[in-house]
Amino acid sequence: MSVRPLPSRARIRLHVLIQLLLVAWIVWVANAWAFRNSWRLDWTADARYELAPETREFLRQLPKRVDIIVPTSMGRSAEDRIRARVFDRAIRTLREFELVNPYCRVAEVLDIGRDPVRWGRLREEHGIDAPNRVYLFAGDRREWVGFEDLAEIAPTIDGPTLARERVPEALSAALERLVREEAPRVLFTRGHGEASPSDERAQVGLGALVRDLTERGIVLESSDLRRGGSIPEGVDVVVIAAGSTGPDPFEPLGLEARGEVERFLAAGGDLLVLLPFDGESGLESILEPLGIGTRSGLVHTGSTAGGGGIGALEVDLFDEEHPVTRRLRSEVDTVELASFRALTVAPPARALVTSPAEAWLERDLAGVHDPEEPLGPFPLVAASEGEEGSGRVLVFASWTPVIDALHRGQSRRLLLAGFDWLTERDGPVAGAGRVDPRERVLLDPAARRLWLLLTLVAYPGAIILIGVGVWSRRRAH
Amino acid sequence: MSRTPGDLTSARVRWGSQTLAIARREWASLFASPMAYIVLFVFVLVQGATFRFHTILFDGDMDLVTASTFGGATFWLLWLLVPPLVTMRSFAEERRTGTFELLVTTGVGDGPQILGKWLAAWGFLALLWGSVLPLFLLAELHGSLDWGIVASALVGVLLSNALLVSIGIFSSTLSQNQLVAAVVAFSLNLTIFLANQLRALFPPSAIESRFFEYISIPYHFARDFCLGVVDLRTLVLYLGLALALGFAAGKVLERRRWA
Repeated sequence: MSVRPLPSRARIRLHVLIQLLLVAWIVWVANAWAFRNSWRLDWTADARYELAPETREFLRQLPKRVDIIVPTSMGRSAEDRIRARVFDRAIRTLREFELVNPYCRVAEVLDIGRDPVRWGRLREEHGIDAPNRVYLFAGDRREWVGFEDLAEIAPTIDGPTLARERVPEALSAALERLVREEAPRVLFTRGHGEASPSDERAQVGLGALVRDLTERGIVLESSDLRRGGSIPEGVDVVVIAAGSTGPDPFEPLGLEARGEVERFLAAGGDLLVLLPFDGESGLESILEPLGIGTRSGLVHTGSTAGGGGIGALEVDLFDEEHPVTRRLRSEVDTVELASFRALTVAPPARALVTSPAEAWLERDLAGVHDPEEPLGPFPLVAASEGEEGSGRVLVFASWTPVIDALHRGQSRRLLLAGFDWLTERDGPVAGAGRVDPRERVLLDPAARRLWLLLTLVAYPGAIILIGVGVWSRRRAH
Repeated sequence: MSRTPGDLTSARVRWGSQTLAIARREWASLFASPMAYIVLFVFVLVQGATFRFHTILFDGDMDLVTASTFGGATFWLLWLLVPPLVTMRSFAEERRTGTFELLVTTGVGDGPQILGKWLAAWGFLALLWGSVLPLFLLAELHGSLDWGIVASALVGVLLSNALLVSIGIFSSTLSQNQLVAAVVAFSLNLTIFLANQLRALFPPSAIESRFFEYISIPYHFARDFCLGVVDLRTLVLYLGLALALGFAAGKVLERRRWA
């Protein structure tokens, strides 16, 4: 019988070493895999760190390397504390961007008060001049985003508060402006009483829409088609907002203006039409061949949503396939719209948003359904995409979504999604800004005393009592 | 003679029951003495005081209170100190008193011993950190808070403590002296903690900086857990290192058979 010799200690040591190295290698490989396959779960109630799928896709396809520098300098005032929080959020969002695409790199984040030497070096190297901005560099191009782009502060009785923040949107838009070779050009027509982008009056102006479009990297211009103006070459989208809150009422587009729009469409340009509540827009001869017509009367459901006036309605019927409404369909249940008339839609056009079946066409403005008033559903937003070479047309059966008072919430998202589709970048940027999601626990003096009692006396005391109980019971046994 | 599937199953069952028996024994011995309750009392007292202080300091902003509870100076002090104190006795004490050899002669393998002690220590730390939950429930009574952030911070604490317990158990296998085991574990914990500071030595875009970011637990808390985000990478890192250290601890115990 042969006895197998025991392995020598050296051999065992070698085996152990090999095993340990193997385990270390497995851990290394697992981490290398995990590093490249980031899987992040956002457990916050409002999913505030979740990037929209379109933003992720946009970041993945970023054509250039982008370096980002964020110099900050904050004081101790209430406003500065809010600013610091918003910039902190911006830095976190940029780090999320970086996780999606490592070539979108946060190169420097610094407090210039703490590190003045580094700040001086950065100013010299990159030619940046002011703190509290997010600077983005791609080769020799650069963009910056200021606090005003990221959020809004509102004064209240309790001091300044963060009214709204739009950090991911502003940063995505800046990135897009930076890497995009040519910015899309959008032209608003004027001369017929159309709502104008230069109207910055509160509530009735277009300030919010203009800011949103500019953030999206869109160049805005306007042209008076009534007084011999033309649509310049290179314009991507023409907007006709056929309604007015100004002294001059809207008048239908004349022959010349219509001819200009027709030429633009035939050349492959895209058109956004926001129709008047009633009467003609002057565009009927252009829209009808595309399958889009209008009916008289305002669509009404009896709901007071969306402004509460006649025609205010909640809409929950979207085209699930179309790029303009697909994202909205997956994210929200209803969109509140105000003062829409009804469209008729036939191929090649398709209805993107449709009123509920119980809606009716309000014709006497009594707000009550009369037997002679037709029942829904009614198309409210329609799109038409002609054959190869011809442009995209989007029609809203109301011009009101453009004004500040109604450019909000899901209605705003719907309109911006429309602009994304027309400028042929179907939504790389996330939607509307959010109100500050932070929750507060405010303690009055009585609550503070209660907390003191509970946290420092009752709770620790209960643990000691349990301990003494268990221990004495064990001793008794 | 080759093993049948039935043999393998019964071996697995035996392995599992031995692990649970060891975990129960360790857990019971922890609570048999008043020490566990004293630790829990001090822990709750400190956390309660800092929680109340932070709630007033941050004007009731619960996002900041959560971030401070799981990322402030008190948190990191407890995070560094408590696991070595809980794990230092696991093997060092058994080897010093000779109960370890006794346990080995009963046929309990190294694996069940390590895993059983790991489970008991990790369970105790989970209980310690879970004791902050009533404070958040109290906050919920006076307002509302984002429980997702609290949950992700707790997940971060539990995952990182899984690694710290492995470090502590590994250190405990190296020496018969509890104090030495605790000092070794504390030093290793401190090294992991200070990796965060090493990031500052390199430009943010440098590969070294990214490496230290990747292994820095305070950075993971600041960037992810305290904000309500759980990243698969931290899960793989902490559990991978915990398993590797558990394996290394097994090899150290195995050394007594051939050294």
